[in-house]
Amino acid sequence: MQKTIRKVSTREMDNGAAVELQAASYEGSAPFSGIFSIFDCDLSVYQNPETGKLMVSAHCHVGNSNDEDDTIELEILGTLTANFIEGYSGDIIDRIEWVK
Amino acid sequence: MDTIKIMKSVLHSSWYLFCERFVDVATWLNFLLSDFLKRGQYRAIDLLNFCMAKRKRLKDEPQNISTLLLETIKDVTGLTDIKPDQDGDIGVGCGCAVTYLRAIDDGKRIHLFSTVVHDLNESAQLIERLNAINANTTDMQFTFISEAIYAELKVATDPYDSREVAKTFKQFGEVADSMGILFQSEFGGKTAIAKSMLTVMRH
Repeated sequence: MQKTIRKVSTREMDNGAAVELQAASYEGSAPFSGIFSIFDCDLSVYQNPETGKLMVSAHCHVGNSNDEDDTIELEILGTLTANFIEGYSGDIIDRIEWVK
Repeated sequence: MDTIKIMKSVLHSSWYLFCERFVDVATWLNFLLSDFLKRGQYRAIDLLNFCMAKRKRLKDEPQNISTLLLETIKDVTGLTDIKPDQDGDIGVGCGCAVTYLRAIDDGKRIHLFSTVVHDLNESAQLIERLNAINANTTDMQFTFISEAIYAELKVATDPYDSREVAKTFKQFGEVADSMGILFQSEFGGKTAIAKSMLTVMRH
């Protein structure tokens, strides 16, 4: 059974790069959605050479981690489910955790 | 004499060819010029339309979007005494849920939200269910925050189209109402408007 991700907190972002994911997976979790902050719209998305899965690197904390440079690798599930936004202003997911 | 005749004939032919080419070139020039003028004219019309549309948009936004929104909701519901609350939110009951609307991003978007169920305990099943619904739904999202499930939707309203807003408002209300009943039956909690109250109101 796939484990579930819980979106713990959000923060506001002003005019930054973001990705809106309709269906994403973190380390094989069940699909979840949300808007995440990314470094760059062109460079943050890549295809995993080993698995062939489409991935995106996003700025987000996991669990209790408070590292400033926390980056998570999210798998983009399905087709046409990722919307990359260059000048996004609004709430983004800041922290996720595993549901126990 | 023959030489002169031949010379005249050659000159005549050359002149004829020159004239023919000149006509061809002139025709092409005429075509290019008229095409350029036509394009210029179209561009001028496009530019004029763009400026007029922009002027109209500037006239309507952002300060009047909230007023337009209120007028649209009054038209849809038939209720004339609706007023925005202190935060500028317009609240309207749709079935068991209350839908709130507000203009955001300088009137470029409208934020619709609703507390579909409250007084609810968090559980892994609930989060799993919400994630699954959100992952398979475009635009409308369901979030669990401090003992309540909220539905929210942000739609672009640039330019403002009252029919589209009315349609979105009705659909959002219907979905929030249905999902509220579904979540309540599955996970417990209370909807914003109790079923018994609804029955009394309908009678």
